[in-house]
Amino acid sequence: MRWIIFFLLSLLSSPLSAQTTDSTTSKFYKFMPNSAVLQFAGNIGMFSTGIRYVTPNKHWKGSLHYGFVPVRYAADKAIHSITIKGQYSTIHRQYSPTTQVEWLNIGLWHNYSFGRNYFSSLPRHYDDGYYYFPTAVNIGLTLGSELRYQRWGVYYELGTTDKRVINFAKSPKAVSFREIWNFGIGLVYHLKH
Amino acid sequence: MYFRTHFFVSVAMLFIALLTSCNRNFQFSVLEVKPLDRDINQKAIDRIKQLTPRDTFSFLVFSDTQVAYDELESFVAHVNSTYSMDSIAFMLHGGDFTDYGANFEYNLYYDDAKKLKFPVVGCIGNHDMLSNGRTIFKKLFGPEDFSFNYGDYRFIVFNSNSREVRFDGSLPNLNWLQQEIDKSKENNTIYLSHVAPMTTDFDPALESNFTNILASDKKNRLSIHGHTHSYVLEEPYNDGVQYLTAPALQKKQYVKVTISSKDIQIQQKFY
Repeated sequence: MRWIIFFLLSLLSSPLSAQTTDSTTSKFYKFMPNSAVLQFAGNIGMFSTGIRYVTPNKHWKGSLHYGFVPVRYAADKAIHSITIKGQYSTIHRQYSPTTQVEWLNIGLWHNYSFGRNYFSSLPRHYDDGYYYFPTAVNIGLTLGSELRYQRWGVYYELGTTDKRVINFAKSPKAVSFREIWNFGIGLVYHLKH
Repeated sequence: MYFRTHFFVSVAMLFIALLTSCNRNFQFSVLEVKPLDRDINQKAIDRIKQLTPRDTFSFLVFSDTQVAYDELESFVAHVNSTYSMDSIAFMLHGGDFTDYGANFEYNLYYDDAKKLKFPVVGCIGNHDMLSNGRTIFKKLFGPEDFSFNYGDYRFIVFNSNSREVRFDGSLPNLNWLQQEIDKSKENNTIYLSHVAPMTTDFDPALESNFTNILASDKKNRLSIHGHTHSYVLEEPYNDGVQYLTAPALQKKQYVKVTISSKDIQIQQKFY
């Protein structure tokens, strides 16, 4: 876990130093992420931090997050997880040279939680098919919007998870469609134009 | 220009609305521990203590309600409309409130079950121990092993999900169980635990000790379980101990037990 934080911090620190040089064509710049992200909630951590890459046409985004839930909202150990998120940005509008709004971002994420309390493949003391799901892995779907002003951005997302969708599918009357959604909000620092 | 100002204002309003909206809408993880209540077993027991015990009384048993929230809602409506307050003393849940031991599942159960007009006491199921489920159970329901009394009846409730601890001998806690039986002042004992000793998920190394403890308890009236999802009433060890397995609620079934010092009537119910 410490190594993940170290890796992310080193990724963030190198672009900040790259800005002082002629950065637009350096190798560093090419590999530098487009933005750094800090998110609150959204089922990928109480707080999660990550780096994001965007395709040249700005429609596809991929991000990698490290998320953390403190002991207060977890068991005897904090929950550390890693999330890979992919998003497609539609209804993308540039309102001024400095302001841009993505009105609808559709995202899919895969979250893995570390620790012996959770498993991704069924442990050996269970018979085959005893539990049909992994407890360490969760998959989510998000819908959201993002605003960018100069180098900063904010976004919100409405999300759901695979386990909630399954619950809803099996009990559609009791578990209303509204129940399966939750909010996440995030702050973005754009490292590139 | 105006657009920008208006937009920032509306974005700010949205964030304020989000932040002040129901706390449940901000979820940190599927594995988070944020139950909606605390110690609901003890709260139910406190309500049971307020009752005037009768020599003949009835209680309902339902079990394995995971993922069957539609069935749980109609069960709550059925029980509340069918049984008058003096016809049923309380209800027992045989375990498996959740499928993944997830916080949102525990809370979905709680939202529905709190509408039942009778107190409900529940034991922990194997699914309930997954992920951080054990921690959530301990916060929402209370201790896994406990007992309470109604009149001259002691109900001993405990964790028998041996496979979840890789059959390490800690579940069920037989020392604790024997102590509870020894210190019981009542003349009747009824046991409640999720996994029955007849199933493969009960620790085979503890099976004979466990069944001997129950058989040696001369006050034993019944051992109630869930887990295998079908209604069964049997005496599998030919030792005078009756084992009742409650059906899964998804089948729209439950059990009514009417008991007196001389007689016990167990009925499989449909709704």
